[in-house]
Amino acid sequence: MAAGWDAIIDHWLAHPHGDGPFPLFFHPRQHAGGTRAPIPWDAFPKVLTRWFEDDPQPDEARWAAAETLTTSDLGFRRYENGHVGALELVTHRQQDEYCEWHVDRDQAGHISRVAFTSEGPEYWEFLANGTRPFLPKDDPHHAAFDGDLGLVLELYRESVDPSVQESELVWPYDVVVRGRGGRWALRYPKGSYNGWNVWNTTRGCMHLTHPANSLQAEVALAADASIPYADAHGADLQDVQDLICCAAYGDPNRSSDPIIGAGVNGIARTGVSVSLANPVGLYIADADLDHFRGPAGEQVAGAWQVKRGDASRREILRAVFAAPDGATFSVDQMRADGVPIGTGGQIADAIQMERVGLGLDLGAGHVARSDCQAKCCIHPQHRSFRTIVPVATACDQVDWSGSGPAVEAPAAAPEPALAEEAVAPEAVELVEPEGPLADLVVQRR
Amino acid sequence: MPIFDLDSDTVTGPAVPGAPTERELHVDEIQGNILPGFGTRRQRLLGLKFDPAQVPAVRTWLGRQVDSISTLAQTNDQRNARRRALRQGQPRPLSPLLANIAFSVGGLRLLAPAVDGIGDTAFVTGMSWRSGLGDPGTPGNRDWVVGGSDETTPDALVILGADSPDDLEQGADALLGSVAASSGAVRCTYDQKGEVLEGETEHFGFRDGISQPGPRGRLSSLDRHFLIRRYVDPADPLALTHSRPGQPLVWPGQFVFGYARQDPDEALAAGPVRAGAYPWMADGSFLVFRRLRQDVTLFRKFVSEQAAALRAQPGFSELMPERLAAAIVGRWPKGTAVMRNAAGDDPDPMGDRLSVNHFGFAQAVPAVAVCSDPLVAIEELVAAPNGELRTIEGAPADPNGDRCPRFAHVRKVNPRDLTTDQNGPDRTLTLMILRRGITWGAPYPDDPAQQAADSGDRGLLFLAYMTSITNQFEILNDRWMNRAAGPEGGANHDLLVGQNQSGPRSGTLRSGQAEAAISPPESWVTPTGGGYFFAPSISALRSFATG
Repeated sequence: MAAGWDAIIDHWLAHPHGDGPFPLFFHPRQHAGGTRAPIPWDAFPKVLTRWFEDDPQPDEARWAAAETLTTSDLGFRRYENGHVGALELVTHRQQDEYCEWHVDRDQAGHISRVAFTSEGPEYWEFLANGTRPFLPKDDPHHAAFDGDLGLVLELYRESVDPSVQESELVWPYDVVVRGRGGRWALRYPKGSYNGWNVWNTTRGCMHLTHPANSLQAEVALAADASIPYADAHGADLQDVQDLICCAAYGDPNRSSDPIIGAGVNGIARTGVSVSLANPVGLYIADADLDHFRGPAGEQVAGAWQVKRGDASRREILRAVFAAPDGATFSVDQMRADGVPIGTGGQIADAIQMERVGLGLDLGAGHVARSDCQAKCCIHPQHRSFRTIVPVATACDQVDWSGSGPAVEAPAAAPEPALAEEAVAPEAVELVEPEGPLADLVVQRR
Repeated sequence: MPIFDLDSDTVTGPAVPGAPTERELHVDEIQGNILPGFGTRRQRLLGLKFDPAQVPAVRTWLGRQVDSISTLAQTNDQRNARRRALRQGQPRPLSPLLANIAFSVGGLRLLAPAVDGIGDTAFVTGMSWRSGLGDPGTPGNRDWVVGGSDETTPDALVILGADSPDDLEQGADALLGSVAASSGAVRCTYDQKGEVLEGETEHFGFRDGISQPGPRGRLSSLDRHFLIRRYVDPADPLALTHSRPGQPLVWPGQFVFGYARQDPDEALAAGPVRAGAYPWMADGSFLVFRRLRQDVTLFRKFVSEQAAALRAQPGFSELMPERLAAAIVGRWPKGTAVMRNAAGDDPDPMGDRLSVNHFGFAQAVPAVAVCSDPLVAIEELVAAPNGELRTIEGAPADPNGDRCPRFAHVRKVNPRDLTTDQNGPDRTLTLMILRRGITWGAPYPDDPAQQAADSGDRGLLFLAYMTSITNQFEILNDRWMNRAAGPEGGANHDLLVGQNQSGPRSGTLRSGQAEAAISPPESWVTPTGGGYFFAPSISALRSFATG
């Protein structure tokens, strides 16, 4: 199993993003050594902080929005009885800094715990479905691991809720997407693991659900950000926002993409090659427990319980915030910076994320600077919020509808109708995907 | 040809092509310690509690004080008078008594029409509850001289400023007399004197207050009547974003409500107006007050013993206590930045205020031409006639913290051109605060016999203004000073003033290839009081007085 996951990371590092080229990005297996460069950022979604920056009650607004679920179109459609149905939106969290959380409440409505995760969806799809969806058929590790849904179920029962049933974790029908060439490809067979299942969205948190929280996308980011850019005067772009707006390698409203990109680019600009330190991942680094106190002002070091990962290495995968063992109070009777805890966001405010880059001088020398293909435009009402557009687009032409977070939970979706596709012959002919299935998923940047 | 007339008080900078238009500030509304700051040699802080059963009497009392509250216009006049005297070789004129007043959320609840909509979580919660500050003790019930609980947090904090001790005493007597005459509606619960030390150092012996942001804004409709005097060569792009090297221009909404705030991604761009939750907040500002006690004995002992211990390690055999202390601060005692001189203090760094703060970390800063002004640079340094351009030298890059350690205080709280965990240098501008603090307590004695008997009662009355305590002061304090991996990854704690109740503070000192961990056993800076306050405009004060 470990060899299988290793092979997937290896494949991503070898093919980080299309054809490249990435003259300043290296595969860490090919060159030993390098200087570690830890890159930290805030766990609380910066996109929400930006959106509500001028709100009369910015903290309350962002904390509430962070726990509001939303839906996204990933191109999924139900396929049953030879018919391709309507679009299937996935429900997910609006937390996109590689840290997602879920607030558990007991029967009386008290917060019993808040579970935090930084585990990527790809890892869980791998656990359930094995290596095949990720590796090309000609990769020697293509069939290294078959997947083990039973293991996934066991982990859910251990971490989320003992009553989880396997039937609740899987797709009840085939899910298809448009593959290469525009033909339908089977993305998730009926009965296979569904990362957006109820126990990982509305009722709990096992791993990341936001489409932008993709580990593969962050490997791609490291490669994309290794390309140096210059402005119209030939000067190297250095600023965090200038770089991401110019190179369009991520979402400028997040913390993660701009800061990681700038960290990687800062090394690459000097002619030093960059990569990612082992183990490759984006982790919860730590929580500053100074922020939290019990109802009588007591320190609560035992409130932060690391369940998966290694806190001493700042590589936490899962942690739970709960009243310390033996405490007679619940989480909502504790205070975060003097404010009674009512949301997980108040805890997330004290959490720091980290990924570690690697710099190694491989003699790449001076690499020609690229020109900007993109730029940022500022939202007319939310003036700390931006979107990336092609350089030639006028900012006053930007359609801002659909921007910004959902502030209300999605209404329960009606059963999507079948037989919406008029083209019957296409609907019945499924093709094997040409390349890793995971590549078919719309990568949100 | 002078680039502008140094003797003018109404043209305070050259014409800079492409510079954005800066709005007029309401000079008769904004309290003067916010902008430009009292600048007096002495201050006295008085904490007042109001009787909630006598609010009309409190209002009456307040109504009698409003005419004495010093405005931006009045404080600026005094600043100009000091400058004029210096230009003419006259002695420094004594400041008239200056007075400002600010209210806690408790005080505002009694006086303001409504308060619950104020969106600053830190202000509304109160400093003693804010555990993220890392202060020892129980939140809401701290063993402090002032402000340790809601009950002991003053409803109002009056700041008096004067140069002469007699003027200050007279002013305080008058205020306390008015309090005594209020029949218990107003009581004084805290009374603290502060005084600038010789050399304008803080008690550990380091020159303080060197680095401040430069709030944008004009004092009249004259197009170059800037609040902050500008010195950079107008032909240099730096002139668009800096008033002097090392002093970035920041849109005033970061410090005063009712004005454009800074854009977090673009240094030059004005953001939208930062309006407070209520109209009465316009032209007002939040005030952070922290009474910090400084244990000079402990600091000196640590520096001396730690340097000695490190001298026994390879790579550190030459490490003297002075060098270690400079690494902790990021400057040498007289103010020379470690980035500008790694070997020691320049002969008179504050003799040239245009070069003392000219450095970055991520990038080397080039030489820059600045307007020669003998009031900011001593005569001997002036290579060009007054008002004309002279060149100051640049400083090297230090992205990896080899020269100025990542834990150095000046680097931790002002990372300048570095990318941080909060985003980039443009975001850093939105975190800046206006510092107006003053030292308190007798200077540390030179005589070892006196040192042994010393009470240790001294420190800094930290005072700072901003429009978001939660997103300015507390980010600097909680996420940068108190956290190891902020602003830079692996940065290490601020060993000068950082706190960490959850574990020891530490920093990694480097010397060439050698590395050594420094971990002080105790803090030498202890908070012993404080509070979060709001300093309203003159109009708001009048409206509170009438109710």
